[in-house]
Amino acid sequence: MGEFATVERAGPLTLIQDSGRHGQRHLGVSPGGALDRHAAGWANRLLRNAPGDALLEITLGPFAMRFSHATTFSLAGAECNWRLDGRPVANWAAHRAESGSLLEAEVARSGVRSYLALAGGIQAEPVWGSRATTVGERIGGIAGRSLRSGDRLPYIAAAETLLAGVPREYIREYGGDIPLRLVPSNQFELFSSAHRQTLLSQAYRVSPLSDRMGVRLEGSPMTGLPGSMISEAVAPGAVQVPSNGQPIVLMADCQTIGGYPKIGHVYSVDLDLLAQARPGATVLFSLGTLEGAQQALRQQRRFFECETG
Amino acid sequence: MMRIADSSDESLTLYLSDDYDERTLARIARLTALVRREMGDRVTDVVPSYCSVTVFYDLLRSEYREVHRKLEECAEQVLLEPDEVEAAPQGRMVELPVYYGGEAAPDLERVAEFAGLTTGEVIDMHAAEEYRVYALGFRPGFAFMGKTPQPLRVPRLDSPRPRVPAGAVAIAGAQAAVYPDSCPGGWNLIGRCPETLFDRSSNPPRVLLAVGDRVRFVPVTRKKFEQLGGELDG
Repeated sequence: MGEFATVERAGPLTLIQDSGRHGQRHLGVSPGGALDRHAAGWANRLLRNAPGDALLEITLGPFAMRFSHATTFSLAGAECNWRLDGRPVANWAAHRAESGSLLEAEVARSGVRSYLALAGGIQAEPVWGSRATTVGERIGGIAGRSLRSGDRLPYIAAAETLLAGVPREYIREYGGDIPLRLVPSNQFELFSSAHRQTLLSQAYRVSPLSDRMGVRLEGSPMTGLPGSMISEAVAPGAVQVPSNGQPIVLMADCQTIGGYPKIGHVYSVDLDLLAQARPGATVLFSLGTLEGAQQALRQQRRFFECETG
Repeated sequence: MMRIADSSDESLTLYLSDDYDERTLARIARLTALVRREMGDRVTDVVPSYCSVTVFYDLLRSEYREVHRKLEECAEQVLLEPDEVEAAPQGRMVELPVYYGGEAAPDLERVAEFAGLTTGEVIDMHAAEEYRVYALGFRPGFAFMGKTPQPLRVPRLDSPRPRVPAGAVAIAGAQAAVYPDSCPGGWNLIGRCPETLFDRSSNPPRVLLAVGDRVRFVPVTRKKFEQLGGELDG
């Protein structure tokens, strides 16, 4: 009994996500969480959900889900021609679903990750304080795996509310070049000026081998690298350079410690755009500062955490 | 030398030394405990590793300069403490049963060849050593142990296996480990341990091994391995 949405078409990788699982890194448990925090933040904000409420991260699509009871839902992120009972519904907006409504998404036209939030959040069982699914660790969501058709997602039927859309200036269009601002750090001194030049002067392409653990970049390789080092804790945003000279930008599902030298880390807020980059997309590094990175992140977090409902 | 790096927008890594040994391990363990006590909820995660301790904080709840200063103070305190304190905390002693035979040890013969020893001698040498846990990571509950005796320091595989079974006892270079879960892995597999290294049914999650623990591998028969709950098909 109760209200639930039934997944009718799960797509290649649809995950229950939230703002991540913190406090267990020392045991080797990665934080995980929604990869594009801008889009996920807006999906929750449109419904006046709490910023940490669980929603769906749909990778590429297609996807289809049926509601058992009337409620409100919201969409943000990748463009995938959403339809509700056959009629087109706008991305970056909240909508009303009736009991029995079918919500469908096609394969994304631009971007990679689409966010679908339900009023009150998806009521999956939290694991160590979070509902985020880390598939590589088999933790969270539904049995630590991506959704399958037939899965039921419990939710709370919501009364009709004012339906809002994201203001135009916050709507993102994906498909352009991805700028990544780098804060030099960690093993930066181990890299020569030629290495730094290689990183900062060329256009990298996003490799098809990228995933939620890391975005691999392809370009003219750095040569004569320092090699591996003694392992230490790593965090999303870190830019590792393994011995093949091709950088990897760590993402939310990255392992908790690693032994590749890191030339620095990129602004956390820039990871939102990187999360929407398709294989072959162009990535351009520039130099930033820690103050700049922290200011941008603080602003984003304040916006989503302190100004809702 | 002690130094601090900004490892992300919301984390700082403090390096206590450039290389690792028993003394550094003891200091890392004490620094981790001190940071947890002194910094409390100003940090969200404290992650020790071989030569460093990384603290994660929440930009909206903690101030960068304050976290930086406090972390530095904790490290200075630990470095100033006299040697007898350093020798004191020795970690727990954990004995791990290992079945070193047959399909549980696909790389044992190759390791023996590399070392110029018999497989029996490799087992004896692996089991005679007392290991220390230097770090936890890579996978939930995966403990990096050291140091493997010199003759057994086989490099990792050229290309990782797509699937290493849970409980696999592995060596690579000076490192030793037991895989808590099945996953891809590039280390040399020489046995299988029936213990649960990462208990995902408990809250908070429970790990068998913690940084600073001492570990001994105890050879057991296949029968004993199975009596202890081990399964070879995994």
